[in-house]
Amino acid sequence: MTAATTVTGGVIPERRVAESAVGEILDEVWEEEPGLIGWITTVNHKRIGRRYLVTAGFFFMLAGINALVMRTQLGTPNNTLVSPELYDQLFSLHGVAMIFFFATPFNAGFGNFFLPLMIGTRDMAFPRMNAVSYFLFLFSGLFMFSSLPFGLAPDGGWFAYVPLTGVKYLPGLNLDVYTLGLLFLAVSTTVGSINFIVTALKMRAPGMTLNRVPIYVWTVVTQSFMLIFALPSLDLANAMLFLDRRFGTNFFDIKHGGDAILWQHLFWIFGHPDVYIIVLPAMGIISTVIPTFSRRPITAYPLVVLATVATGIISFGVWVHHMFAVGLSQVSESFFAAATLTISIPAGVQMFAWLVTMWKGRVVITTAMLYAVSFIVAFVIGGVTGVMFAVVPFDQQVTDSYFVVAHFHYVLFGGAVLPMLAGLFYWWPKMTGRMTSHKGGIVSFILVFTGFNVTFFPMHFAGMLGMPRRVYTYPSGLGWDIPNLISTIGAFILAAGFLWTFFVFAQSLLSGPRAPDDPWGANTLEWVTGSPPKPYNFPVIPTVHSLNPLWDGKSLASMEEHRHDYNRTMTSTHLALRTSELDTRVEKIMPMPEETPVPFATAVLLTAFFISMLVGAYHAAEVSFGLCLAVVAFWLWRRPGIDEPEEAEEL
Amino acid sequence: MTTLDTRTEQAIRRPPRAAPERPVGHTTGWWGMVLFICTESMTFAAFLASYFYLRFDHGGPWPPAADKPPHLLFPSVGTFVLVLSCVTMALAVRAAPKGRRAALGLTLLVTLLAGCVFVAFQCVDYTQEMPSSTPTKDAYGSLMFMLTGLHVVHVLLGLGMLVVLVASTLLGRIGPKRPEPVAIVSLYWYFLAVLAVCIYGTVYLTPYLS
Repeated sequence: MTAATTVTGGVIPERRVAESAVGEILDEVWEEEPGLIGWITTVNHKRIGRRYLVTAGFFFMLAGINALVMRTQLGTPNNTLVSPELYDQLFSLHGVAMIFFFATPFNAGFGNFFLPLMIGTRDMAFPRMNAVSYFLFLFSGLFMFSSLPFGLAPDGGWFAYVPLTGVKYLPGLNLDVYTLGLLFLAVSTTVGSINFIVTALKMRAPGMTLNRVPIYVWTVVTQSFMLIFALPSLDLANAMLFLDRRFGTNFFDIKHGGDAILWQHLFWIFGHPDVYIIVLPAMGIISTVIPTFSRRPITAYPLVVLATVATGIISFGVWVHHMFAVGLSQVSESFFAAATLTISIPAGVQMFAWLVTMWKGRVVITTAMLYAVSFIVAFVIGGVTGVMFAVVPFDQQVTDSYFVVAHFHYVLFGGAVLPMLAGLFYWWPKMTGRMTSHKGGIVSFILVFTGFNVTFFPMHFAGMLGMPRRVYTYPSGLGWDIPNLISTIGAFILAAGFLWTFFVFAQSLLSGPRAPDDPWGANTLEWVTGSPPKPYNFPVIPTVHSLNPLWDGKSLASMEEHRHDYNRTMTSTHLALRTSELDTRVEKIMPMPEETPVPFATAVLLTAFFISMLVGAYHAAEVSFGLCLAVVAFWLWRRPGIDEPEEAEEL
Repeated sequence: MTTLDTRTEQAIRRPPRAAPERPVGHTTGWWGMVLFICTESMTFAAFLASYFYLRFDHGGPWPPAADKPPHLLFPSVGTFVLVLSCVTMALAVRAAPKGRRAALGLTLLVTLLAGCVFVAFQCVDYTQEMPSSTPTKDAYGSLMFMLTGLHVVHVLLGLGMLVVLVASTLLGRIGPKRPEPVAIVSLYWYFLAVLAVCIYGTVYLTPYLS
């Protein structure tokens, strides 16, 4: 069966009926400001989600170019393409950007666009906070990347260990860009995570009880909880490092009673959960794509959900396996080695659930499905080398070598980028209203998957042969020449693959065939909406009758049934349905905010604050922070629905 | 398959036996604040853990020989006042849905005042600690000033919320049917009080235990 035969075509009839009843009024109520003003003031989760994807994709390209330069430098021994100083900045910025400014925000882009659609609501719980979290992400990313042309990019590695990153060894603004840039981004990420959780708890369509929540939503919520609990540790470490460097406090200064290992603990208490923060939503994409293209519901839904949540919890207990070479006590090393082995169990549960889903289903080969299946292969390889690190003596041998580089690229590229590409190809018709070329997609998959393996697989050998990570060059004759040359060739194949993928998407935007509402015959609610969805998403909020609302027949029929029910159509202003957390009983029709420039103003003022802090203009920092708080106060003042008479509040 | 919200043709209707339940769920604002408090708690938990990590890593006497033990008077009174202000905050939460605007305004103002007293007393304490301990002299001073300082900044944030609440009350934007912001801010205020006790115990009392 090919992709073409799965296209069911046209508009979902139930939605057409619903739209003929209330579509015109809703179009008017939810009409958006065009042009630049609309761009600044919008609170539409779909536009914000698209922006997240485009911006994170842009940062991915920049960090990818960093990597290409590094690979070119390492292609041959004793190469002098870049200086050691520049190389330090390149690998530090590459790591920081890929982890913080690409992987997490790209997931946030999908989450923003699809979480509200999947749970059947009209926007996020806090649309204005959603807008501010995007602007903060954009500005903090520009803050970080604009440091490179000035030679001020972070140069202490992505985990910035003290004492190297203390002001004594790395003077200059480079590390201040790192600490402030990450604190800046953390505001955006925290706000965004709270928004995801509250949206998933309070805005689900009636009937979507906890056992009917799509797995993708579970993964985003788990990830958001992890961010809320893990990120503070990184924030604290960065604030301490900034204070140490700028104002002479002594948190990490051993001479004055501080401790360098404290940084490592604080960093990795965040850092290890962060691996799953990046990978879990990607696994959620896999759990969405595989059932659709296996033509059956996912196997062992409760186990997959439990595994997701368990991964989130256990990941907080494994951070010391990044520190096995530090010389901690053997008791703690044993404990964390055991915990690290434990975490492979929930990952295994998910693996087998996907395999059985495909085994019991009828697999349809599409680009999205190819990427999803290739994820399974890559993630198992990355996972196996990960389990090897749980063995303390082995870890001590290969730590800080290219074996580690190979391992985490299999986990992060294989575990996150491949699913993201699967997600892009899968949801592209929904986001843009255009189909992508089937053949073009397959070529993209072949190039990317080949390039990925050719780049990163030889790194295992380079690492086993003793090549340390973060060296800017190496002498010949150590047996590292061949693996490095192959890796560099692979990097260019990979780059060609991404360039090709970009052209596939560009071609689709320009001249791709129009996408029907549900081109893949999928099972989740986002495919009920138009391609692309209208600003109000659902003309009638449906009642969800099962885990696979598009396959049960009844959920769709409910849109037709309720098309004259004001409590489901909510046609008067921007309104959304608030339901109870566990069993989604309708609680209230909730007023939602209109377009507003307040988030943009908040983000600009906060940017001014961080730039002033960086250059040491503390009075300017005080003023901009004060103004920012004033804007936030104004924001709280203008609660949505505040101008309506009090009686209209209760349902 | 279970069905929801749909009735069979021969629907059997019974009168309700139990009193109708009110919806038990919380509002989005409540959840937003609770999650915000979660993430803030983690920040302070990590900071308190860092305090004890550095302290026990340091070994020897605590505070280090070069520092004097902390002064107790002003932080003790300040913390006590902040904890006590939870009572007026709780009264405000009760007054809001009853539409007793004067009582609401008064309790909020008293709470606001208590918060100001706490901040002022903490600043007085800094001037007392200053010559013997400073933020830059050693890790002990860095921990003491930055941990309490971070808390003071959070109390200032809470005071900002209270100012918005008082202004809203005076202008009648918090009515009997919209009491929610008071309850939401109260959560943050209680959180600040709990933090104050933890930080007071850590920074001011435990140095006397060594």
